[in-house]
Amino acid sequence: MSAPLTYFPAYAGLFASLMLALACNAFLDIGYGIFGVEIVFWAAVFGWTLLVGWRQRGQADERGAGQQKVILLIGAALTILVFIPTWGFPRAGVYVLGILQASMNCVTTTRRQLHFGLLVSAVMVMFAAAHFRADWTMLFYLVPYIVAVVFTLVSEQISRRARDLRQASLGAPDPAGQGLAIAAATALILALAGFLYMLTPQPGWPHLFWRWGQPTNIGFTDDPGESGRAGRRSGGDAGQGEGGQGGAGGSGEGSGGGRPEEADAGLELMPQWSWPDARKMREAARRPGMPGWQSGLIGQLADAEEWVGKTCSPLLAEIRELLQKLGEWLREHRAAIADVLLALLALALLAALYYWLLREVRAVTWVRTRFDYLRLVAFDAGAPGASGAGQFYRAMERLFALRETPRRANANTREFLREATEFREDLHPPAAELTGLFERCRYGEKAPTAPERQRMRDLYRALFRALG
Amino acid sequence: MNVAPEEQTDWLRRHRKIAVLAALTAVAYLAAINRAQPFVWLVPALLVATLATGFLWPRWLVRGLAVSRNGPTRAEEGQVIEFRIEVDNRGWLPRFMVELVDRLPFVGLADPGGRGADQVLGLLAYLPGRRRQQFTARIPCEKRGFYRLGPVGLASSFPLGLAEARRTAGDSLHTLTIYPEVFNILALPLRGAPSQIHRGGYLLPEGAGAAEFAGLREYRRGDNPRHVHWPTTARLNELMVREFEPLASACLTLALDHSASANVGRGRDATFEVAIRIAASIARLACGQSIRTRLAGNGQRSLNGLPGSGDRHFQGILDELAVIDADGVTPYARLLDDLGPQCVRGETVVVFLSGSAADWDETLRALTMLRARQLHLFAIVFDTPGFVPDYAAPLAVPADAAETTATLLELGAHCLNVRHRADLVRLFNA
Repeated sequence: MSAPLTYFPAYAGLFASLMLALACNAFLDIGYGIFGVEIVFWAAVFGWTLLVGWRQRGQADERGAGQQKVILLIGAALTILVFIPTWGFPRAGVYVLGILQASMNCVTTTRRQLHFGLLVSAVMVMFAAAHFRADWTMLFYLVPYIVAVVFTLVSEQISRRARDLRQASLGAPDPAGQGLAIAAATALILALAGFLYMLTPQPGWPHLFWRWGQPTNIGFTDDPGESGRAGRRSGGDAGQGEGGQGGAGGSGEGSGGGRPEEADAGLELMPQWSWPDARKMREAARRPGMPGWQSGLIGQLADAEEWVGKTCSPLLAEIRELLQKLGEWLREHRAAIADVLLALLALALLAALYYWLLREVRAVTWVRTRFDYLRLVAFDAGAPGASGAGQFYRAMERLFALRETPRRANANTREFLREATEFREDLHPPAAELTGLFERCRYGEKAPTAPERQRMRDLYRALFRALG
Repeated sequence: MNVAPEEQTDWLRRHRKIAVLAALTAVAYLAAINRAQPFVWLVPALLVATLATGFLWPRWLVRGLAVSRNGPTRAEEGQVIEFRIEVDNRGWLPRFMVELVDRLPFVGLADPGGRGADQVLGLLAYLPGRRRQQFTARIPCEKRGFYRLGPVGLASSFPLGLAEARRTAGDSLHTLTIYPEVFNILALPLRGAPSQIHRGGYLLPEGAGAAEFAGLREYRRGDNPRHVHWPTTARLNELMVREFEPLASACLTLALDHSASANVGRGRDATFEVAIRIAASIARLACGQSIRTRLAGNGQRSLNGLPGSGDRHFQGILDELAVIDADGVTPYARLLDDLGPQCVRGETVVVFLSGSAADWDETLRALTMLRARQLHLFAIVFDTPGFVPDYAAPLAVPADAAETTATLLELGAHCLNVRHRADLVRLFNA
């Protein structure tokens, strides 16, 4: 048993989806001047029937069933008298589907019926979108339809889930944000759908047959000219081939192949939609029967398209020029760049080798302690200030690491001192003093004085003589 | 590996929406390939986006969230406790519609046949990135017991309910002990037992006025050596002990019937649960008045503690009463038989009688033996047929409370009849 549907926005969303789906189909007849009549008629039908469904509040009753029968009878009459004579099949089939859905709306009281209604609208939209008259101007109805469907599904699901969970939950967290959740989910699904649409190749059967087609003897001979023929190379090589290769270039495998007139032939194989230019937009706006608001909007879009083109063309030209210069520079200095990259790679490998492997090697630690002694004691070349104190302390850590007492990663200075001198009591006084000086410099307000620095140097020398 | 048909059905039920949507997507793609029109591809793209979002987003939503639940570890039956739940979004992006599910076995047990299960603590509709949200859940403690709570789980089927992702927060386990409900009893018809201060187990008289010096007598084996009166012993060259006035001091044993067959009813209204509440209330009164009290029981968890009094002893009794269950198989008569030799003369034994008539003869014999040992009986007699749920089959041979009471009165026992859902406060303080 599906959950009852009492959420009014779900009915509103279903109404919008069905209306926009029918609008997509009616838009195919835009040239005949009956678009407005069809819209008004279907708005009345869907509006009334969905109102009947909503009034039942999730529980189907006799009133809905009675209305359903009435709508079915009227629909049957309209089908015989209007739909079939006017449009014939298969277009009339869409309107029959609309009437059947309208009758179903009268008893739409569950979520399953809502989903069924949205599915019917999707079928109607697919029919309209697949029609040969469908062009980019249909997007004015197609895009709102998609938004309406997604919004309806998401909002109904989220609202119902939230209501059910709030009734069952023991606590009461802040309920704010449900609208934001609906908006976010709708936006994400639409964005992802748009991205997928742009990304997906859109081949038809002709293209698939051409690309992967029936087995022939092509490719089984040793004809040297064969490699340049259709289908054997991607679009980048299309210029060498025949007319159909220009269309192959449109698939995303490579564009720019073939002549412009060849591209038209390719579109039949691989129809990839592209945004129209201002001229095409203005032509579309002047079509007979186009609603005024849509015509005006298309005109504004054409103006915007021109403005964007004019505004951005200098910038685009600049970017193109910069890219070109960059490409030339890279070509000129290819050898030097390669050398630098190799050197950097080698350095990175050496650094990685040290940090991950050699640091643990005793010999490397031994070498580092010699280096520490030379730098800090022999040449007194340590860093000034507190960082110099840190150098003495880390040099001491390395001395102890050389004697199998490395400092644990999570040991503080006191713990390390205790562990390091546990079995070397004679080293405890200098190590403790060096630790104390280091801590004073690290956490104190003043940098180490010259006598303190000298003392650290003496202490390190003493430790080095004992451990190094 | 064989998969049970129920699991297959459950899997199909959970993935039905995805399967339907995937089938529709395949059909939409086929339709799009069949038509050389670019806009037809919008529908399958939308369906794929819906599938991907519905399947992957919930999995991402429950990641990067940390949940902690704080609350009391002890409570009393009927008390409403408050859990404080904090959800921390450690990610940069917001989370939507995340459900917090917790395993709270003590919720829903009050209903007859109810079982504790996963409970929804709350629904977070929106939690911005790098933020945390707190809320409280007030939950009534319906039934006594020792419960392991958690772990708190995060679940999400946002946005379309196509697939549900779940994740548990491992550090949210803790325990809750719910003590039985205790009601006020102003007084009990207890009789005194002779002072036990001369017995070896008692080192000192219990409390002020429990006993007072009465005289001297020669030492007898078993006397407390601390009561030896050394000056007299030295003078007479014979061990002499102080004798105390045998003042009456009540001793109490609460003998619970753990046998499963004696537990009539379900949930919080079962006879065993009522007996637990009565025992806890009597124990509080007794321990508060320095009456030596102990528990005795014959369940799988044996109750043979030492007698004692005071708050700590009462806490120990409550700890025991919180976790015991009617899971025994030993007849009540056996417990009473075992109890007799352990009790002292004049001690009061509180017995809870809810068994069927089939066991009554044996129980009556054991009670007679207790009386023969000069023990006082305080009998709580349940009106057993009244405790049988409406939907359950009536007891085959229900024990007649009136007849039981009459027999007990003949034995000299103090009787109290407890009916189903009786007002215990009024009953014990009438």
